[in-house]
Amino acid sequence: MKMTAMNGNDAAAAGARMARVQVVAAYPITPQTPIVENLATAIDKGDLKANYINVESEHSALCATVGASLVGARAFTATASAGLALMHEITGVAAGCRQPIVMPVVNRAIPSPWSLWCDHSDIMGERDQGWIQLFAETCQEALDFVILSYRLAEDKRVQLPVMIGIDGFFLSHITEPVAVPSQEQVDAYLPPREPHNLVLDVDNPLAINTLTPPGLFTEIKYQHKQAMENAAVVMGKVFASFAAAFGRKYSVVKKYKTEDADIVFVAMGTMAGTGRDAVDALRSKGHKVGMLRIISFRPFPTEAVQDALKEAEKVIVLDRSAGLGSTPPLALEVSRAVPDKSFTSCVAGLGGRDVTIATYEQALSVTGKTGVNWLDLKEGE
Amino acid sequence: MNKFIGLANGITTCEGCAMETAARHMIEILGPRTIILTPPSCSAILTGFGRETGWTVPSFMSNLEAVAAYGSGVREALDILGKGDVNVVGYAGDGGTLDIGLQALSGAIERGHRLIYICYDNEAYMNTGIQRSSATPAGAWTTTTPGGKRGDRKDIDGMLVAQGIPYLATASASYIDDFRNKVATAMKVDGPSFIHLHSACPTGWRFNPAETYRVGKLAVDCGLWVLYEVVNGKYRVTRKLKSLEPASNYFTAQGRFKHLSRQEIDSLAAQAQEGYYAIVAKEND
Amino acid sequence: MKEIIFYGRGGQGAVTASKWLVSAAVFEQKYAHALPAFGQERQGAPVYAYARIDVQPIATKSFVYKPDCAVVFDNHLPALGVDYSAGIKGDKILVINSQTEIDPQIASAFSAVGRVDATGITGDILGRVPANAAMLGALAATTNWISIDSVILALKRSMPGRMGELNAKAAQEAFSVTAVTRSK
Repeated sequence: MKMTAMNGNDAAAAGARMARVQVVAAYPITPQTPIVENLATAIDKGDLKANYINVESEHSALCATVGASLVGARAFTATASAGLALMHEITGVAAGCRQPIVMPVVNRAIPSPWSLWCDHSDIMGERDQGWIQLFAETCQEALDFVILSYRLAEDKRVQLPVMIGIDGFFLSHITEPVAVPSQEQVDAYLPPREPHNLVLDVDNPLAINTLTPPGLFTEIKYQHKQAMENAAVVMGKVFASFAAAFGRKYSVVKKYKTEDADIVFVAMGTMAGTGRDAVDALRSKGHKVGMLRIISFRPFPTEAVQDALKEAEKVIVLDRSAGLGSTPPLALEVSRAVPDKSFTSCVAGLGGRDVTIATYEQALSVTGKTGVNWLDLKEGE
Repeated sequence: MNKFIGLANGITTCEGCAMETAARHMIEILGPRTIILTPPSCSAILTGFGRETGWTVPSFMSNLEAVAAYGSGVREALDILGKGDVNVVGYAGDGGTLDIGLQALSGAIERGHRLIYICYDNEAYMNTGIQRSSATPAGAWTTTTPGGKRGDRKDIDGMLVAQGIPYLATASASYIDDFRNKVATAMKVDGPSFIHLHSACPTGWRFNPAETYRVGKLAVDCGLWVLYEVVNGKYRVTRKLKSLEPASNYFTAQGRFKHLSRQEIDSLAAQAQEGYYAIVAKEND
Repeated sequence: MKEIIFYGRGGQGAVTASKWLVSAAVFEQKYAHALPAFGQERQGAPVYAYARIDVQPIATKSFVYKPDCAVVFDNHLPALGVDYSAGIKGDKILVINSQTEIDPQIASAFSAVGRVDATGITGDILGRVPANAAMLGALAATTNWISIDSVILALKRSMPGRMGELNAKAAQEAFSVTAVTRSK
């Protein structure tokens, strides 16, 4: 397959282009902006047959995306940080109205203080809104996940929106070789959307998102829960069919040298890649460590995590968001999945702080320390 | 041929609700190939509750600030799916339009989507129980202006005309033929259109529900609510008045103004009627 | 794996050069990545881009702290407080855009120094545009980690037509004239 050098933002945009999205509604925000610039150019040049809506806010971006999806179009937007926070009201509507929207979230810290740079505090604010959440690590995944997410989202049993976490700058702006599939391959894998269930169609009128009394609300929410459970099953099938079509295998978690590891690090996004090199560096010094990367944060792959950690004595989770007032989000999930393991919670990489092999060495040094261990903390700042 | 019924009977709006009457006429003109968006507001009652719906056309309950934003997406998707003939209509109150929805409305108009936006203006947040909005007129009592509102209402029409909207009209539920004509005109506009419908509210304005159309008519006949349209910036008054009824009749017909002194009413009446002549003057510009 | 830091100033094309390097590596079936260090973008402010080249996939996605090579687009950077010999130890390479000889004390920190007047070469061939194509030519000449043919291919792919031709010419010229001094 032809390899092309491209960055994470351009890869995500290429995925959207090849998925033949029909409506794009977007508002610029660093570090996401190049995705929607890329799509605006593609539409302007006629490379993508879609309508582009230059909305006046992220709130409107997601509203317009939901509106477009409601009438049956394949709809796309992307955002980051404060933009995602502004969308929060509508992320609930998108998921509750079961609209198969795909939205890269180019992860950037939520203010305050202001930061342009990567952490997961933005997307973690949305973790219970009923979206599927995948975290990409490479530019290849940024492209592939957009394509396969439409297939997952539009599946009759799922009908849920998908957020794809793309670490700001560390992934959005890194240039890597990417295998770009042909349009024919993508068309064969991802047919045009067939809208199901909640659709605004004058030939089949429906009132959608109406005021719902207590006697019905719980049941509708329960259907949403079931869709999330279905998503876990369908995701496996989508990964399998993707591998058959494109030759690239994905799964809900990615294991690296976990089989014989005494201690396993758990992380998401780009820092997990650095973690694999950290594992090699630490093993060369005699530490039997492994790396577990969570790809699907929602639905959370509890069984896959349990399976991956079954041989480990100790687990060290590195969260890229602070989780103030409690255990940070990833640590909370993993500790729930494997309650009997020796467990260490760490926070690293906030607001663009680089996560390096040294960060993992420090994480190892705090093994077994209770509470939340903040790594790379500068004394006296 | 059966007559198209766009809105079912037996909807539980308040007794004497002008918004509901106007909606019935509006959907009759718009016809079955229409998608309606309503925010959480009085008009959401028409969209439905639980297993029931009022509209016989597809409808969606948007977020309060976002009718125009959802409408933008619906319009662009319909167009790319080859369903350009379907009307996309927002039916929102004054709070969802002049206050929290202004940004989305302004954005949608600037982008030029083919959208019909009808604001039924009952001059306060009525669905939450009569709180002041920026459309509440000077002097009016609401639960959040217990001593009467200070300052005048926001001139949304002037703002949208200044923005260059291709078609803007005012209307009143008490002059329903005029409203129907304006809906029909809006349907032909190749771009955004805005109809600002004065919608008398017995619950919030404190008058007998049997008086809805009389109160609404008084507002027009006193020159307080001028019926006009603006086509590509050109004003045309659609109901010219030979003489103005005394505006004090309008104020004294409603409980929400009852705390005002005669002097205050006279002052408000004089001020408000100047508005009529200002619009007439624009027609002659 | 070879790790590189590109040191430049806003508008000099260092970030773009790092991306072209990845494209060039792709032509050689190598793995590479380029990661800019982003701040608030301003013309003239110091800019860094980090790159890695390897024969196997690169897992790490962090900045480079101990580069095998520093590519310096502007020899006035030390005056702006930029120390491009930071993290350099042992067998390390400097590629620098300079019309004049490099201060021997600075040069002594490196095992090899490739000096080129990339600005002059670019000015002659392309006029007032970033000297980044010429700097990649000098990188190829000094390090041998990437061939000049791959660099030229990357430039022509990135800029079809006359601009690609002229940039390729600048890279080729820089490749030919880069003065490489090896201390070890």
